Amino acid sequence: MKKSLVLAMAMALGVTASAYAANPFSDVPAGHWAYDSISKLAAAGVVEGYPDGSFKGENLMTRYEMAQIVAKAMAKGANVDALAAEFAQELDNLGVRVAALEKKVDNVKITGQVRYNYAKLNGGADADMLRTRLWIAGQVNEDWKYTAMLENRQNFKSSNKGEEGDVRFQRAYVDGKLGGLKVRAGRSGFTSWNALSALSFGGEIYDTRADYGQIQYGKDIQLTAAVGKLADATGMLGTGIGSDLSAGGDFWAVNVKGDLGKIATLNVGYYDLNDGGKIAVDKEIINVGLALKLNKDFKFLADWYKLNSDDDVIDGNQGWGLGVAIKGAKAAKPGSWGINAKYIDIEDGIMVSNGWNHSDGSSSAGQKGWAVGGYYTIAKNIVAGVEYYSTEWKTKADGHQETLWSQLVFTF
Amino acid sequence: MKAKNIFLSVLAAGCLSVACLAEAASVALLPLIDKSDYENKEELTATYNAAAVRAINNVEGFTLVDSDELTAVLDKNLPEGTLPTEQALKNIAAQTGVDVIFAMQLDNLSSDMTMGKIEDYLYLDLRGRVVYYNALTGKFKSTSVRDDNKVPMATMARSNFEIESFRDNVRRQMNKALGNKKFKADPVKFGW
Repeated sequence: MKKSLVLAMAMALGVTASAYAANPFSDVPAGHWAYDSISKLAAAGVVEGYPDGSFKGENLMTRYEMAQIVAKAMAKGANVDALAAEFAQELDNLGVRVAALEKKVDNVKITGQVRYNYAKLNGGADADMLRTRLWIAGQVNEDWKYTAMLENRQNFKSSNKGEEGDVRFQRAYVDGKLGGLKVRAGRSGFTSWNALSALSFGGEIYDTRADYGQIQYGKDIQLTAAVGKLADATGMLGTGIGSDLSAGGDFWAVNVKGDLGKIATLNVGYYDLNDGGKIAVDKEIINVGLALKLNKDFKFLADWYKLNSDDDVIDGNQGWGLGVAIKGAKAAKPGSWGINAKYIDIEDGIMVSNGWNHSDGSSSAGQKGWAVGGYYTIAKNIVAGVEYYSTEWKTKADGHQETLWSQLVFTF
Repeated sequence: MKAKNIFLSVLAAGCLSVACLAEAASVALLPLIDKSDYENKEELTATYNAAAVRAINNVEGFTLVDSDELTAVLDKNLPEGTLPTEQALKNIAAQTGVDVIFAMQLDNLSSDMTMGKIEDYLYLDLRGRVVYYNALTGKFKSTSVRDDNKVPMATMARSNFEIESFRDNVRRQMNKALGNKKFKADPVKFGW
């Protein structure tokens, strides 16, 4: 189709019919009452005739034949929702997804995810867990959505006395658009905006749930700001010794991200974390990150961090990290795979609650070392992953830490 | 089951109602200029067309139009494979009387997945450009379209994240082209 419009009537089919086939079928003359309709649909490729050039309009059709025609029309953008509803079962059997129908039937969608993981932690301990989540997404209007998540964890290393029946409400938030602003509010995952958070090892500074509000503005230069309360399990103690579960503090953060040419993106972030002097010290973390997308299969990432704090022990601490991402597994694409790798050298206090599956991963103690992970989509919505971590604590006495982490994730 | 002639006429007749709004403002939708690597080109085009048409149908007083005269003017004024300029759109509107002309170019539509300790995420990378001219308001706009939305991967288990995001972006841009008029139909009922 060269520079031409799609016909008004045929736009409902999403095809161009600017040139109808003249009398496309030998048994459908121009004066026939159905001629216009049949010609239009034949020109659009939605219906075909028999090998002898006839249409045989008096023949009965099976429901499958009708479903095939509806499917072709839908593929060309037709507004055929009522017909799609009628032939939903046949379309499903033909492997045609009726996404619009799913949405119209109910504005609430329930999906789920089950993750089994087995990990060998430092010192021979291991973790053997099943995490089950149900996600509930409700379309409030065309620009706003509500998302909630329920979670249950089963620890196969425990006694299996049925004490793990808790189902917790872990996420409850809305997101949407207000004019040019993208808005999120509620309890959801908060990942720090450093460049390395694009890897499967998660955000370096913070990567867990938080109760917060966030706004984002801009396209090529983007400003993001968030304010809220961190989750309880944060490493807020200034010296980075373990995590105080009651020390979830208030925070606000801002990040500016912009393109440098076609392949590079630079971000500068500022994080202000404090708990009003309850237990932990206040912290201000500055991050500068660089992401290079060399081609669609290869990314190089780098971050630098600086910490300011009331605690003289950690004030002025710095850190840096480098990472690469090669290709990437996609749950919808069987056979797809990806490799992530990174190296970090970060002093105490900067990693408030990082996102990696490593021994004592939630501690804010400084670490130096590397991690590598591979991910493979075994079948649609089934993804396997293996990660290996090897780090040294910067100031803690325990020294070398290693973790071998494996997981199998089913999404439904 | 009745003869298939009747079924096909019913199918085609659903389209006829669009053309009945002769008194409505006219909208010309130019074909999508697809420069992305998204594999299913047919799905992309169908999504673009359906999203734009639905956005038009959801707003009072607008209807999609076409005619042989309009096609001839477009063929004369529009370069192949590139977005039209402001002057080209104004010339077309002046010569044909069309009230709104909309065009879009898609440069990239892809997503990446990360598998984290806390959450598995999908990151969208949608980039493109939209141009439109609204003769009713006198407004011409040439603007980049960019969406880097991040969602929990599990919420997209039975959906196509890229296509749904593309659909939503087309709809939003068409709404802006039409001047963000009030909806005539319930957009939630329409399935958006």
